[in-house]
Amino acid sequence: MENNNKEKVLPTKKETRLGSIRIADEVVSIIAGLAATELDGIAGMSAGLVGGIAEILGRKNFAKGVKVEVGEKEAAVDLYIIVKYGVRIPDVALAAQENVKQAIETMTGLSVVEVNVHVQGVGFPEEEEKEEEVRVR
Amino acid sequence: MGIINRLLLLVYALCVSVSVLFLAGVFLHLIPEGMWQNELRYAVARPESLAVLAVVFLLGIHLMVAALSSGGKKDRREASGELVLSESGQGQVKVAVTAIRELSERSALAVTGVRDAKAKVEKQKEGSPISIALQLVLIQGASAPEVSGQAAQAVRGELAAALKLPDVPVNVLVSDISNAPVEQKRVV
Repeated sequence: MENNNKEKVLPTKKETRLGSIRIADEVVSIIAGLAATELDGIAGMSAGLVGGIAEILGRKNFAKGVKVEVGEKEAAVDLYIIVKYGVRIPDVALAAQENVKQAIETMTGLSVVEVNVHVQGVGFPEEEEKEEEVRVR
Repeated sequence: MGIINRLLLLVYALCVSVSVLFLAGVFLHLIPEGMWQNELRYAVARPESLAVLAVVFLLGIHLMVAALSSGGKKDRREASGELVLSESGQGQVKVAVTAIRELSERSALAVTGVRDAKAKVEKQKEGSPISIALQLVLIQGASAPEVSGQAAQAVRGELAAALKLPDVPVNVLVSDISNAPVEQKRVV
C-alpha cells in the first residue's frame, strides 16, 4: 500500500491494531548514502547539478548520489560515488555493495535485490587539501 | 569552437555592440535627431547596405549553427559514459570514462620528463575492453622513446592496480616538446 508521498508500509504484527509504519524513500536513500560514505576508500558521493546547487545554498543532502527504487518488500539502490586516489576500485565497490545492503536490510527490513555502483570520479589528495584550507581560517 | 568561428564571433559581437550603442544614443537623444535621420536616409539609399545586412545575417546563422553543433568530428572509437567493470548477484560496478581518463593523465604526468598529458579512452572489440590514446608534451631534453615508454607503463600499471584491468593497450603520441619552466612548490 503506497500513498502519494511514495512511502512504504512495512508488514508488521502491530500493523492493523496499532497503526502502520511507513518509511519514506528518502530515508532509504539516506541510509544508503551514510553506509557508503563511512567506507575508507570513498571520497564522497557524486551530487549532480541539482544536488550541487542545493549544497552551495547551504542545504545538507545526505541522500546525495543515491537513487533508490523501493517496493513492498524489496529495494534496489544505485550509488554514484567518487573514490579516493590509490584504492582498488572493484574492492571498494564490493565493500560499498555489502555495507549498503546490510545497513538497509537491518534498519528497514527490506530485502535489497541489487546495489549498483557507479564510480563517477577520483578524488586526488591536493584537491582535498584545498577544500580543507577553505574551511579553516 | 575553432579559431575561425571565434574571430567571426568577435566581429559579430562588435557589430551588435556598435549598433546597440548607436540605438542607445538615439533613445537618449545624445545623437541629434537630424543627424541620425540623415545617416539612415543615406544608408537606405545605398545598395551596399543591403549586402552588409545580408552578410551580418548569414554570419549570425553560421554562428548559431556552430554553437548548436556537436563540435566537429567525433572519433567513433572514443568511449563515453560508463564502463562495466563487473557484474554479480550484488549488482553492477561501473566506472565513468572521465574517471579512467583522469587516472591515466595523472599517472602519465607523474613520470619525469612529461610536461603535459591528455588521454582518450577508446573502445576495443577484442581483448581488453578499452585502450588508451595518450598524447604527451615532453620537457626539452627528455628522451622521447624512454619517457613515452615509462608513461605507457605507468598508465598500464595504474589501470591494473585501480581497476583490475591488466594489459590495457596504451598508444602514445608525443605531440610537442616544451621548454617552458615547470612550476614547483618551494615551500610546504
